[in-house]
Amino acid sequence: MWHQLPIHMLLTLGWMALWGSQAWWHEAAGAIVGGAILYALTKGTGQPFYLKRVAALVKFAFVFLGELVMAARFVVRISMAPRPRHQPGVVALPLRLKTDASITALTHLLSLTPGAVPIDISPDRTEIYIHCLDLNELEAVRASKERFEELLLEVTQ
Amino acid sequence: MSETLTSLSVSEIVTSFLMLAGAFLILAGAIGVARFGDFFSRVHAAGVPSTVGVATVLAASAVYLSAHMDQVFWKPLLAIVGLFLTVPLGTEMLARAAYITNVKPAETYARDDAEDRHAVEHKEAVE
Repeated sequence: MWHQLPIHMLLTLGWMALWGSQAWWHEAAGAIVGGAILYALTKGTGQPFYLKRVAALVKFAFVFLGELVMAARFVVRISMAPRPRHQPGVVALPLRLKTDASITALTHLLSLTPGAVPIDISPDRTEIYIHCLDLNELEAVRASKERFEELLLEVTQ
Repeated sequence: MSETLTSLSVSEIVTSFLMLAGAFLILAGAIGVARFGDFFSRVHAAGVPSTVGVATVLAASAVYLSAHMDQVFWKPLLAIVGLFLTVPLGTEMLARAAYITNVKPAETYARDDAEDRHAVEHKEAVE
């Protein structure tokens, strides 16, 4: 999958060498032409196209930034509330990810989402235990966990 | 007064906004740590602001230095990456260690799935 990246760079360099120019528009044109050639080749061999993975990563970054803003607002709201009335608890949520790296990434992301800190993974790796600051916000925590898991599945498989 | 405002450049306005936002977040986190009753709630209040708030202040320094050195200044971004890799890990490990070693919450949980299903064996192992 990722070996397509150096091939793409080589195609771009080849295009620039043919034009004998290092101008950015030749580089951009080379990247587009190289991408089209790579796409045709991956269509032919049935391999997944690596730029789709890159697009998934970019989408991921934006979702993550949005989630950070939400987390910041949540912390401000709950710590400035005149009478804190949150109801903490520990919930088990199903875990669909399989590899070590993706589970680590998920726990990292979850500890930055509003009102959730992952505590532990069940020994058979089917559940993740999360400490929720407010059980009334459980649905929000579940939703962001699902979203991150979906994106991680997209990126890692 | 209006003169000083209009003499601010765009980069200075962005820098000030990021600095104030970051400082406000860190303040909110500090208030949360001081006010919340038990360890787990404090971990919540300490984790997010100390990453997002500090990252915002670092981003402000990146904008300021980039504008004043006429080149993009990457080093604060490196620090932000380091921050995002390490602080969540610390948060998780603190919460996990506290849960396994049976640190008491301020009031009993309305719902505790780990208690029933899994963490019991851990707790026995510690005692």
